[in-house]
Amino acid sequence: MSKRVYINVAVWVLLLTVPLWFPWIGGYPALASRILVYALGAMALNLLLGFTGCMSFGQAAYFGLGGYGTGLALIHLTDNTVAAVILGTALGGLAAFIVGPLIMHRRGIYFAMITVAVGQIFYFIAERWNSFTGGEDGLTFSRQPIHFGPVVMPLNAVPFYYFVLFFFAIGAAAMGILLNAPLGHTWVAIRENRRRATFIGIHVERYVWASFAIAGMFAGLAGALNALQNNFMSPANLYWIESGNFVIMAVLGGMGSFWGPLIGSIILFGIQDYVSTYFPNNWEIFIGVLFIIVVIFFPNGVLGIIRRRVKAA
Amino acid sequence: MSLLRLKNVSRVFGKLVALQNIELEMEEGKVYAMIGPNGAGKTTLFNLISGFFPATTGEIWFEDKLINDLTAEQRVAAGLVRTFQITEVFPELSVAENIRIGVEAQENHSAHVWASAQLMRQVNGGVDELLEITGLTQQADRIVSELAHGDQRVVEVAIALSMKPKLLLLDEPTAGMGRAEAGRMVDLIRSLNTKQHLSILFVEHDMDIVFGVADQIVVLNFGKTLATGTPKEIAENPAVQAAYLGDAA
Repeated sequence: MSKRVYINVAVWVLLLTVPLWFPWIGGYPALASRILVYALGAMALNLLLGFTGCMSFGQAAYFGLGGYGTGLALIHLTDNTVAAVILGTALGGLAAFIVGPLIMHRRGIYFAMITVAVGQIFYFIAERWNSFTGGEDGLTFSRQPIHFGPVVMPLNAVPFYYFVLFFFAIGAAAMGILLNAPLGHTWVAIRENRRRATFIGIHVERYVWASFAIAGMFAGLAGALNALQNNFMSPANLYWIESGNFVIMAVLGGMGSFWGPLIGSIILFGIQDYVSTYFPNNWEIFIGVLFIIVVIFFPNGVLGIIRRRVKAA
Repeated sequence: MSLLRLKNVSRVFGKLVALQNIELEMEEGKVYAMIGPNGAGKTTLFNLISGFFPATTGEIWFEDKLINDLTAEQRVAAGLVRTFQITEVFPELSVAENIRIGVEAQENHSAHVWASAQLMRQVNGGVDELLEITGLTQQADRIVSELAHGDQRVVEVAIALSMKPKLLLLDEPTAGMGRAEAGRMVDLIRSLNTKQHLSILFVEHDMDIVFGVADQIVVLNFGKTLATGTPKEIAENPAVQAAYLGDAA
């Protein structure tokens, strides 16, 4: 219990002080923001994958919908960046909520395939609906400074990092609360033994639905922040390869652990940023090799290795 | 009033008559054992009672209610709770967490998104009580998959107990256990009956356990009830001796 408190304090202190120490190891604010955005998306996926035991390969759809929702809101509805984030998040969650009943009856590989199929439907809609989404060319918009009464906060480098961290904190805290509540216990029960869960009266499918919808909502939040970071949305953010990136982050960092996806995101973008300087065209090979090593030798991810060390010591 | 009553129950799989005209009446507060050679229909009867599949003909009554049409989940809610021949637990969670899932499900808390202090006190109280009843208090924080087989089966019983059963169905509770472990399970079954006043029906192959624990024994053979009675009556029953106990009896 107390160990978990220390870890959480350490994580939050490190995240809050990123502008102080990150440049020392060659980082910069935009990289830190990107790591947090994708970590949030991967943590959302991890609700399903790591804690409910359902392999979703279509998480990018809700991530992308969050982005389009936010971008379109900024273009058509509002200058308020926070309101746009909320709208994007709601769109991701709503879409996952509606899709949920289609997929909640499926298990294992069938669940994964249907999440891919549904995700690709959203991808094709975004790609073909030129008049609304900009189609293949993508959608350009611009995040607006935030007004606190007379004080204006511009959303450039470091302030934008804190803007992202604010929403990351809300998302992480909400997921942490859910996982520590009976709902989270029920999800884990489903992951551990569906049959047993059914026969103590748990309606497994409804809980899978809830997990899917909530994971979709937080993916939408991550997608909204991603769109703001780029001031641009492209259908590629909904493509199944993007879904694969979230899975890779969750698996690399450790599916069973709360902070695992954050570690996975740090590894993925760390390698991308540093290695691509030397191997601009084939840096992904490093991710591939690392992924294979982790899956074969450390199925519980990087955090799993550390935990085992701690236990053995 | 009888707790469980089977009237003329049969089950047919294709051309195989697995159970034929079973009559069974269970009184409240007693321990019943079901015995019979392999293929006698014990597990089939367990599945019929717990609702895994329907009876082909006949009526199943529980607490004066006809339950033929209730699903397995609805029967659990009604108080008919079973364990399985193969241990069914939540392997990578601790003993206390396993039981907590059951307690939260039983009290309809499973969907709560906020663990208030009051709720957790209430849930933890229920968990502690079950840990004590089943003698698992010392192992509360151990991961279940790391426990000995016998202890894992006790965890399964504890999960079943969290459902607040009126009738507990145990399918071969000592299967695969050594003497000492089986002895602990027997003690648990006894104390559940005497201290918690729980009615129990169990399937068992070990005759020492059956004759040592049961108030009533039901003998199945070739899908029919061969005899029902106290251990003494069963031991002295010539039909049972001939068909089942053989020369040993």
